[in-house]
Amino acid sequence: MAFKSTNRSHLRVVREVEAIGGNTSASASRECMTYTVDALKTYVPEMVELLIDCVRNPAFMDWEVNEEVQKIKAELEEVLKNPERLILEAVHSTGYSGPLANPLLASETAIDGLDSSILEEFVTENYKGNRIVVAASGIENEELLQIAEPLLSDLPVGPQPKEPKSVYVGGDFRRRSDSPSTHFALAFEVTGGWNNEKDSVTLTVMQMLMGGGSSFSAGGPGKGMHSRLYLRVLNEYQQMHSFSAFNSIFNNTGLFGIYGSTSSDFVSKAVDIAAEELILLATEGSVSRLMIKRAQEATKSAVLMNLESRMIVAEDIGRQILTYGERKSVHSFLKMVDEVELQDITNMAKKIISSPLTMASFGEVLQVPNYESVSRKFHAK
Amino acid sequence: MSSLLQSLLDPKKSWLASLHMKTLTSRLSKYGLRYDDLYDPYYDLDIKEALNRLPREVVDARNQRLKRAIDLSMKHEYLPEDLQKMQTPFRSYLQDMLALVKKENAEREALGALPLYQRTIP
Repeated sequence: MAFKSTNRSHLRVVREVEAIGGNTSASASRECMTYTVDALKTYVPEMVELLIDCVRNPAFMDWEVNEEVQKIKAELEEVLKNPERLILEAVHSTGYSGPLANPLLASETAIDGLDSSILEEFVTENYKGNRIVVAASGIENEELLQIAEPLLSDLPVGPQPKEPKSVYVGGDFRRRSDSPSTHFALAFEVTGGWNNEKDSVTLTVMQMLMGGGSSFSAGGPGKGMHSRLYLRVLNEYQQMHSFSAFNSIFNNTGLFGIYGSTSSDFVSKAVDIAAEELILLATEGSVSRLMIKRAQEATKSAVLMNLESRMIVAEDIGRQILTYGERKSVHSFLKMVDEVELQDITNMAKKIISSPLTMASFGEVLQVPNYESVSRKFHAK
Repeated sequence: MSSLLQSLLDPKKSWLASLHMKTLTSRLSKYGLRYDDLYDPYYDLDIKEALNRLPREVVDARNQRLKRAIDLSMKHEYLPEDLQKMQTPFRSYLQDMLALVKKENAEREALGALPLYQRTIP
């Protein structure tokens, strides 16, 4: 519903965006909502005005809301074809209790009750002056200030909301379906999140270190398959379709885990292998200095390559201001990546696997081993 | 010019217009209909679009009034007297939405976009 009718009709909004040759997009994540417009530098006033109009004054017309709800329902049915997304969602909802557990894919009952009045309430309550950040890349701050200030200065300042705490609890999620391959994920909590920069940097490097991916590599055989999980797992066992490490970091907490998808008869062995990999990460001496160096270089290059895109830079500025209140330079981040030591990784891994396990699986779930038995592996060592 | 037309057509100013309104009121309330019920969605696709956008209760009430009127006409009867006194034939529910739909279509045409729907004469 992001760039639909405001006081000007939806057709007009679309035509104006097309007239300046711009792109619009909106995305919602657990901790922030982002609305993006990009176009040529000469059209900055039009862009900013359009963006602020669409954010501040959406007129949620009933018929448009109904159309969008139909589309979302269709998307929900599609999601069953993308089990990876489903599993990641499941890991979040089972692992956390509290607001972070609220799923990003809404449930059927929630969508049926969705109304234009609910959306309006949400906008008036949450889009207050002290909770919006306008970020831009490619123009000077003064220019942006000059244009955006008169449009936003009369936005009421709401009370600073207390961030509701969500607690990590761990848990088990299984969803049976008749599919030839079974997908599972094991995840643990990482305390600290973005507010603890050193730990989040260590976590990113650890994820690059473990790496992994799908067994059918997009670049041809042998390309880029140097990460630990590839070398140790995917090259050894042919039944694994994909095996990779994932992490998701929020403001105060985070998740790190391994996602795998295998053919259904191999599942229990696959879960054992995943558990073994995680335990091995926490034992001293199992990770070599060369692997760490490779992971560090890969992280640095990924960050720098992403920052070449203007859109990502603007999003990065906005998110950093929302989280930290200021924008940290990329050099300080690169320096922190370089400072990650072998001992840091081992300590972090030990801390991670001492938190409760979250398991999620989809497919032939009867073959997946019991939650207790897997969790015992981590605590018994 | 337009204000002359308005004063000719305004029931409060013109005797003829108020007679017309009184006759319409009595005829519509004999069958329990509202003026907006007479707008036909098969005649003008804008009316169909406007009816699609109205809330479900309003459209259901319209359909029930139409069914009651068809039934009365088949039986060659009128509505009972006490119900006739309660009728409000000129309470409008469609005019605003219809104006919005027509305005949007005009804007569409002005911007040079193709219209969303076109009437085909069968």
